[in-house]
Amino acid sequence: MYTYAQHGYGKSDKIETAIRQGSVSGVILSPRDEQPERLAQYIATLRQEFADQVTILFDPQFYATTVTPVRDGYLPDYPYYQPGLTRGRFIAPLDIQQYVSDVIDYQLPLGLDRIISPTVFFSDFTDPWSQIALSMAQQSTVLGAGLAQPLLLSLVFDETALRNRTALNDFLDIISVWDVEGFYLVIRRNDTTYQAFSDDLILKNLMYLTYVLAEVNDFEIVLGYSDFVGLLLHAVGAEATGTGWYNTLRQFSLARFQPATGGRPARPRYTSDALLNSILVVPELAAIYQRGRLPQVIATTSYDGTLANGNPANAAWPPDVACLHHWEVLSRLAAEVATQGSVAASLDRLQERIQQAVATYNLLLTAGIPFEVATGQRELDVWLRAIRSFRQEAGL
Amino acid sequence: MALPTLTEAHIRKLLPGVDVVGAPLAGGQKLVFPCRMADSRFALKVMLTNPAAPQSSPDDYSVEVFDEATARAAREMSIIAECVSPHIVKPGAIPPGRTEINGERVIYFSEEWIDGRDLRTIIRTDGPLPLAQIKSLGVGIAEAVKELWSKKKIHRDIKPANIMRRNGASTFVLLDMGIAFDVEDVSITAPGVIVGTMVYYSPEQIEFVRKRQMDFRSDLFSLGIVMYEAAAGRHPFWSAGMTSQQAVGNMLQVSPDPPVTHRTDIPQQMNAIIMRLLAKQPHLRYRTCDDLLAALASV
Repeated sequence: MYTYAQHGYGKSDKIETAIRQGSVSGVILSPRDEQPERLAQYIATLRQEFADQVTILFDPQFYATTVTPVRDGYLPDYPYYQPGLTRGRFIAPLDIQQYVSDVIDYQLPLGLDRIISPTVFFSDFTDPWSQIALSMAQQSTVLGAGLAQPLLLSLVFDETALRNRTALNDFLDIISVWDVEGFYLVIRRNDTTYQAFSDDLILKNLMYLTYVLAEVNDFEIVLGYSDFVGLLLHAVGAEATGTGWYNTLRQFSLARFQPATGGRPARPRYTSDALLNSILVVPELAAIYQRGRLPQVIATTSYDGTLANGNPANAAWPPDVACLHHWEVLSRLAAEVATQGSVAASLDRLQERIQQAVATYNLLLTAGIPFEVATGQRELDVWLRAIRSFRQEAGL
Repeated sequence: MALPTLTEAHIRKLLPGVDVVGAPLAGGQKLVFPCRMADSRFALKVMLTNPAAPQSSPDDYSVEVFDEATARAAREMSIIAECVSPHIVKPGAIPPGRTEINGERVIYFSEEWIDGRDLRTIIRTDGPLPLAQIKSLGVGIAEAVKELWSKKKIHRDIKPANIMRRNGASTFVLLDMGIAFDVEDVSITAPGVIVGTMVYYSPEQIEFVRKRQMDFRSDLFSLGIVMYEAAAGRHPFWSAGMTSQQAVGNMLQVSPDPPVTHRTDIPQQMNAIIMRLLAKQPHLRYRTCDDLLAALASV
């Protein structure tokens, strides 16, 4: 199990296709984007066709209850969901108990492989909302003790929380003794640029968090909305990472639950395992083709023939195909990183990959091929710094 | 706090039918008399209560009426009475009570008599333990910590002097629950007061402002120090000539040399277990005592 499809609006049949092809081994469902009856039917369909070949999770997205103004899609159709909850509605233990049992009870008959607990979003490990999140998680462990399905405690917090290492340590001390199967973690990103983890301290501490929970304490760790950054987390023990077809399904932002402020259609992207990035088909991949460098970035998946046999600018590269290609590349990389036998060996392999990607970028830049900031190699330097720093601290 | 001054004669007068069968031993705030009644051997522990504590009915044995020393004794008796692990000392034949002797108000209670030696004496006289004994020590104390934590209690004073090795069976028993901490109960200790023996504290125990967040992993750290000492014959953070402040600084900030640097026949697995127990952060130790026991079983 490595890559999970992060479900969102407009799923078509690509999740089923990816499961058949072995590119994704699980799905994290989004009630915001599907009516309850349709989602229940979809789960039944997946189960019927794939039985236990797929891990089906349901993110209850309870954290949207505190977002205002909110764009919560179909969430109000779900009986456990209550929009516009304020902090005062989380003071009474009985209220928290009710929220938790409503969310858990809703999931029980759906035929899921794991139950995911409800949570609230918090910005910092010391803020009052984090205490509410802990209370909900604690209550979930109580209710989850007798369930047939294993329980994953969900935590959704801002990436800047990871800057405060002392608070992170204290938080880990609390959650690392809970008697649950694992955790479903979602990290809110503040930079909407693609991938965009610009701070290696945050990334290092996210690796530390994952390593402590997964590798040291043997929890099952699933990180939602992770995309390429998930490779670093697989290297330190994450069981699975989720990624989807839109950028909003590849990195998490509360904007996904807030009224839209406009935007433009996504430009077609091509995911290159050699570059560890998704670059623009036009102009970047087209420029690479024109300089005769295409073989150095093409990923050789079952979908690459379309782009590899001519000028990518003239090839059809519809979003569904791009998504299936993206999942295939990512799952292959994740499997490669995660099956090295030890965390140290996985990190060695990943560092080699990153260094090769840096070298490939440099080659392309030397050949006069420009990249946008978001599709360039800036991330790779951050990743290398984070990995080195993590290894030094963990003694790996 | 001073020790009581009572003698064997006082004990015989106080508890007719009880024979004192050896010289009393001084341990911390307690005087311990090896005793026998009929065929039963036990250790009678006597400690002074606070003279300023209210004088109420001598039969009223309760935390509310007595002072801190009495409360600790009551807690100790309550804990050992609840526990069934063979690695936790058992109650003795004499029920707890209090009295006034020689102008001193004292509280007394009894524990099973353990034929054997304490680990501090063993290490001092015999040197480091053989590997099988280190493993047995780890298993025994981990089992004791596990049972205490199942009752939401932390021992807080795991050290060689509080561990006995039974003669014959060579199993280890944890003594002295006097400062055990109940995370779900009121604290007996006054705010800001650190209890326990400092060079066996966990980092979170030293940083007492975080005391209420402690759990069984604090005891696992102390066990790590004890196992290190049993394996290497030396304390991981303290050496002769060092002040306690220096030792505490080491415990908070310095990673010790692995035991294998002092003793080459320590297997890598045992070395790794001890070093993991000594991690500064509780979340880097073991998630459960069962995980530790499984690791020890694989050595």
